[in-house]
Amino acid sequence: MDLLQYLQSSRRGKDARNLERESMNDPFLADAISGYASVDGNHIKTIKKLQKEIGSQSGRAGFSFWKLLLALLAIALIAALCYFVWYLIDNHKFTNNSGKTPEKKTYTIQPSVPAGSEAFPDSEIIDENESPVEELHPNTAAISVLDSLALKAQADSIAQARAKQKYLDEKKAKLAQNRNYGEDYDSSYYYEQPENSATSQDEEFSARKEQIASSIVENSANATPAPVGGMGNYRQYLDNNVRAALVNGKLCSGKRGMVVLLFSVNDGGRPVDVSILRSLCPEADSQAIRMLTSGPGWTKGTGEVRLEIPFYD
Amino acid sequence: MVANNKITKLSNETLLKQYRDTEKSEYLGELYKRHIPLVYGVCLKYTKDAEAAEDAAMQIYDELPLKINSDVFDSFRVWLYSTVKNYCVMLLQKENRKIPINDSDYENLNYDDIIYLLEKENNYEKTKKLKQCMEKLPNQQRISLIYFFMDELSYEEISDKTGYTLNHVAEYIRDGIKNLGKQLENIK
Repeated sequence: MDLLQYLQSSRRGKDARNLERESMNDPFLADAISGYASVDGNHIKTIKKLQKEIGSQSGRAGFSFWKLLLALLAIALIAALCYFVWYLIDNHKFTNNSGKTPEKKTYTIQPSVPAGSEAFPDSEIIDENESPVEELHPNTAAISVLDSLALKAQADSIAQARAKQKYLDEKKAKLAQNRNYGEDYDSSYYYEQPENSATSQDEEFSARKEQIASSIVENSANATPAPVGGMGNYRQYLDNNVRAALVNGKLCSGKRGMVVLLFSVNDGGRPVDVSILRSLCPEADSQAIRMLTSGPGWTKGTGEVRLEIPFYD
Repeated sequence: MVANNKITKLSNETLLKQYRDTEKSEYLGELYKRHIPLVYGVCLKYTKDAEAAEDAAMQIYDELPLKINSDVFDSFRVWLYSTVKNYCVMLLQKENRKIPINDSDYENLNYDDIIYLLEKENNYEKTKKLKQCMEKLPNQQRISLIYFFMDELSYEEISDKTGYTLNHVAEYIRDGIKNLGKQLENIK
């Protein structure tokens, strides 16, 4: 029994059950079966319609002469029209408004500020347009008695993040000019600093991180979920997998950048409801999602988690 | 132009090879036609809308010639699956929608041994270890596993008996297998 027969049947009996059993080793089939069970409609009719459409599209070789003729006629018509318009312009000096500027494709950034995200100052780096003071509006949950301390610590850390961002931007600009991965290139700045980093700047950073975390977060149940095993190890996991994905150099046709995901954590500690805040390319996005869902679990908490996955060599 | 009935008799591998050699769209069309039930189904899963899924299936076909020449792959079917998924993810991302987590995203975890165990034992009460572990599972998972593996019922038949939706039956079976695996590990 194939999938089409399965869909046309009552889906009961040995044959149907065997196809379902097959789907346990065949994700393509499993997803398709799940799709048909999720949406109502006359799917058989649509399948036949699609097959007919594909069939007629691909079998049109015999009519290509007429297609060619029609195309030539259309081109001639367009050419005549252009000449006519040019003639009008030339004669009547008619000023023509240029066409609309093409719409830029923007990735909308989710308006919700993840609660407790201040505890991860690195994540501030990408959103250049966010204003620190506006963020600390009653929007953020669980602000404790030490509000003013938190505010100051927040402002300090964001100022530091901006400085870091400026440094990063300058570095990226330098890199863009000449892809020279010599002593200039410090890959560690693209990843979260490990806990035992030697630089004084990072020690300050960690200290501020602790300060903010303890002042804003009331108790662990209200904290943002974190990877079981710690962020350091999680970064290592991501790093290894990204490296593996980049190994043959074909991913995203060589384009490099960051994928940013937003998700919630369910009671089982697994990521759910994933959104892509920033895309690199469809293949990298899928890889990122796969890494997230197959990876280590997350501690329980409230609010959504924002995760950056850098795809750099 | 190749005669229609001749084309339908060719194997998938032959169709692909012929398409690559001759670039005649009839071969690619026939190959894609055969996969439409799968492609359309996956599009339904992601878009949750029949019309959008239909458009997606056609759009994917339109983009195939370009991709098929630039990508390297062993299996057309496996490659087509990831192409369809990537397209759907891109669609959802454009509309800023949530992306469904796939069971296939967990593909690095293998439960063949658990399934083998479930299929080998024809009475779960008999093996003490299996019975113990089954009893630790949530009801829906245990019931679904028993109906599917012991009684060999299909999802629709299990749904008739329990009232669970088809997708829930599949989910309970899947999660039941994973949990059973964990339970068996704990007992060792």
